[in-house]
Amino acid sequence: MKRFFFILSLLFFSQLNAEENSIEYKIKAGYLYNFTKFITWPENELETFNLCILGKDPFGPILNPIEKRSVKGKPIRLSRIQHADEAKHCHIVYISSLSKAHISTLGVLTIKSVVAKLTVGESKPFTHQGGMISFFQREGKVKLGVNLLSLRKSGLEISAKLLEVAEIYEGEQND
Amino acid sequence: MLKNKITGRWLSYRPLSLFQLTIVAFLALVEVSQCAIAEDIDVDDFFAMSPEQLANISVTIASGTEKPAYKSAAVTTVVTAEQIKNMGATELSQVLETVPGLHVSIQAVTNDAVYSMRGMRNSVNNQVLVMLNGTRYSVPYKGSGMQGMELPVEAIQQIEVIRGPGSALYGADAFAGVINIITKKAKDIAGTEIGIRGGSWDTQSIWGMHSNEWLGWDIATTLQYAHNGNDDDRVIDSDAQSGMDRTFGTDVSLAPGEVQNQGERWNAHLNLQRKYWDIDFWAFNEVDGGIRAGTGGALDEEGSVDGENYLADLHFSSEDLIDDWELLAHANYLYTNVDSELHIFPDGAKLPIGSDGNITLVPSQIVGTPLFTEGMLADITIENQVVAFETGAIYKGFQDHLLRINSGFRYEQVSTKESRNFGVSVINGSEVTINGDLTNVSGTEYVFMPDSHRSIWSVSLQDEWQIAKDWQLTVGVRFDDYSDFGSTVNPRAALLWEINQKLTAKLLYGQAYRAPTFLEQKQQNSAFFNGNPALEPETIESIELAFDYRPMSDLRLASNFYYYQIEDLIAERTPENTVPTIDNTDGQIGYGTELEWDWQFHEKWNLKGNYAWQYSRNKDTKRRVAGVPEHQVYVATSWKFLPQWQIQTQLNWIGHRLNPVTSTTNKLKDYQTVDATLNSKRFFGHIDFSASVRNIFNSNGKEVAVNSYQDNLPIASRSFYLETSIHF
Repeated sequence: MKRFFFILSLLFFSQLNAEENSIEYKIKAGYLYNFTKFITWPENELETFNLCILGKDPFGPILNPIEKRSVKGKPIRLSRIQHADEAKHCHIVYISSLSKAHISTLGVLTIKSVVAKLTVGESKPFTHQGGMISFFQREGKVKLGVNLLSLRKSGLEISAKLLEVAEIYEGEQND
Repeated sequence: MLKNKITGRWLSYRPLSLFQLTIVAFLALVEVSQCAIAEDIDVDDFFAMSPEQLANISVTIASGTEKPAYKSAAVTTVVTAEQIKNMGATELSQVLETVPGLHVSIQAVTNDAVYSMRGMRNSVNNQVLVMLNGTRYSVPYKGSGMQGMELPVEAIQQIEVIRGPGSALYGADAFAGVINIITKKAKDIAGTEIGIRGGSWDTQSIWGMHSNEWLGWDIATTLQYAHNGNDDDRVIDSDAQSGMDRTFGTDVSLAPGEVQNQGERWNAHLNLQRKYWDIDFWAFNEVDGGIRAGTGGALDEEGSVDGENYLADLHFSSEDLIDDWELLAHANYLYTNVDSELHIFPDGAKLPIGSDGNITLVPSQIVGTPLFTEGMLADITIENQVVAFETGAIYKGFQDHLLRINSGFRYEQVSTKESRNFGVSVINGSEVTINGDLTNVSGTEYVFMPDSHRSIWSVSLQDEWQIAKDWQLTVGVRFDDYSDFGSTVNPRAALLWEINQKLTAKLLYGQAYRAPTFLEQKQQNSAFFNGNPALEPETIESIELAFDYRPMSDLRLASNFYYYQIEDLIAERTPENTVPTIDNTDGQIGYGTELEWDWQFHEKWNLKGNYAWQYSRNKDTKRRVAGVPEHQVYVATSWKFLPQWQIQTQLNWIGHRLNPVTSTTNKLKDYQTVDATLNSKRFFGHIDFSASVRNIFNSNGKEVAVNSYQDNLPIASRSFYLETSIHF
């Protein structure tokens, strides 16, 4: 009987956690969609606006409805990719904290290639390591960290609307 | 916190502020119910939110969560700090003017702002309940904010307005609507901000805000100082003394002359928050304030008002301490003291005095016309104190119900002092000249209002029932028992139907009341009106149908249709040739509609606004209610022409008002004001800059005045402001 309760409470808590996660990731999904609106994307030839999840996908199905939306007439396409090399066509690359490889991939991703891309990651150190935008939590709310230098290098213009809610990391001129 | 941004309106709150935001509880009780959130709020709703909204949603279920305004059980408007900045508002009234169906005009006697809503307006602005962080700060003698109270906006994080009655939750005076002002907390300030503003009429203001953490408390402090002179274009051509001058051959009227709006204000807030606790202190001081258009209908350049207002406020919430229950407690203390030195009529005035020593315009009652060599003078002090306690509980144990019970006690007290050189027991009208020596009538039967107090017990119950996935019913009732006039019961019900993801419909029913104030019950020895201890509260019953339509993520449309009926309206009765008495009158009937739109039609462009139409009629006179606009239009366009730069222009049109002053031939003409504000945010990462022009075209609109003015009062003329603030 005791064990039953234990399992039950485990179930309860895990369910609670799942819900918390889902809100957290819905907020992040909301931000990702906002990035498409509040960042000025240079014109390019691609027919879709590509949002890529690199490595493990923490969103699950939550993010899928974003494909019903579009950016400047281009439908948003969501792709889950495993390697940085596949990121060439991506406008936004989301690198989950669960993907161990992200630090090494950053070098690849910050290079300005065919499409200007935005790198988005989990946890503040991501922006300190050259990532452009990171999600982090403060007082139970999801906030943004922005590395202005990395953004500038990528040629992307970020709107004040995003900067207003962001903690800004000026970035280090080390190249 | 409620949030309202470009693409939608959103509500959320932390339980810490549950009490403080009782208004939100009213709107959105069920949101504390935990389970349904993830399913309830579709990810599409998150796509529709702005970065600012997203940044304010709590991730953890335990600490409360968010809910769109369209799901709230009332018709609401939310104005955020950012919107306040964008519109270039410097005072609360300027922000409220943009709310659908709300028009800010001018009170009698004090000339403070009066917020008319849906055709409801009275001369002391107590048909709308105004709260700071969920606590009322109206002074009991008149039922509205302290004389001279005009809140500066820098410390405001958000303003929430419920349009429609709310007594079932808030008790007295939530009659035409409820306004809740939420001040900035530590998370809203996040560091230090220092700002200055300068502008027309010698306007200067400076403010500082700071937040930090101390012994586990999140602490926020704000301090503001503002000073302004008179608006030299805001001129009154002719006043009550002008009429006296013509009759008695004197020439002492100060008209034409400027409305005396000058004054200095200090405003300070301190907030301490930690788990379970939320503590607020607020101090507002007015120093040497002008008498504006004069208390008795004649300009007064020598008089002044000094006021102080202190509010201490303590909230407790058990949050997640007990399964299925949230226990709440709220205690607050309000102290206000206003000292006014009034020159009711200027030096050298000859005035018709009756045997009671007061002015009378009835020829047969005039005893003599003494010369007031130093003017008709009064020094008045009014001190108000309110102590209130509230306890409550929210039960979340039922799957489809959220129950809330509250009980409260409030004690209201006023004491007065008065010295004057006229009136009952001081003069009798047979004098030839009267000098400036004042007779102290404080504590005697001749004072204008005796010291008074009353206590109020209340209990309220509310259930929010999720009938089906798309249907929700909120029912509530509140019982209030007053030691003076007795008890009143006010129910409400709100049925919410989410027709589909884009369209929500609400059907609302509510009753509310406004308690008679001490002044209305007990004023005496006055030439203006005498109180009536037998007054009953005035009551309102209203029904409303509202729709909220979000066809695209960038567009929100809302509309509502209401009908209400007021009974026992507290108003003056003027039997022939006597001083008016306050009485319960037949009341009024009103109906109308409000339409709102908010459209982000381009990445950089936003168009929002509202149109309100109302038709209200006095049941007794069968005449349209005077002084309130039948039509009101507000339109604002903003253009973000550079990432950190924005310009917003707004237009406010006030149309079709009847003139309550029947003696004047001047109509209360329609008018419009246009304002423009240029804003830059986080310039160089730290600096905000703003420049604004208010009333660009110098519209000479008029607002309703007391009877003794031959014309109505002019609105503020064109003014310019520059403002900058540094954040670090």
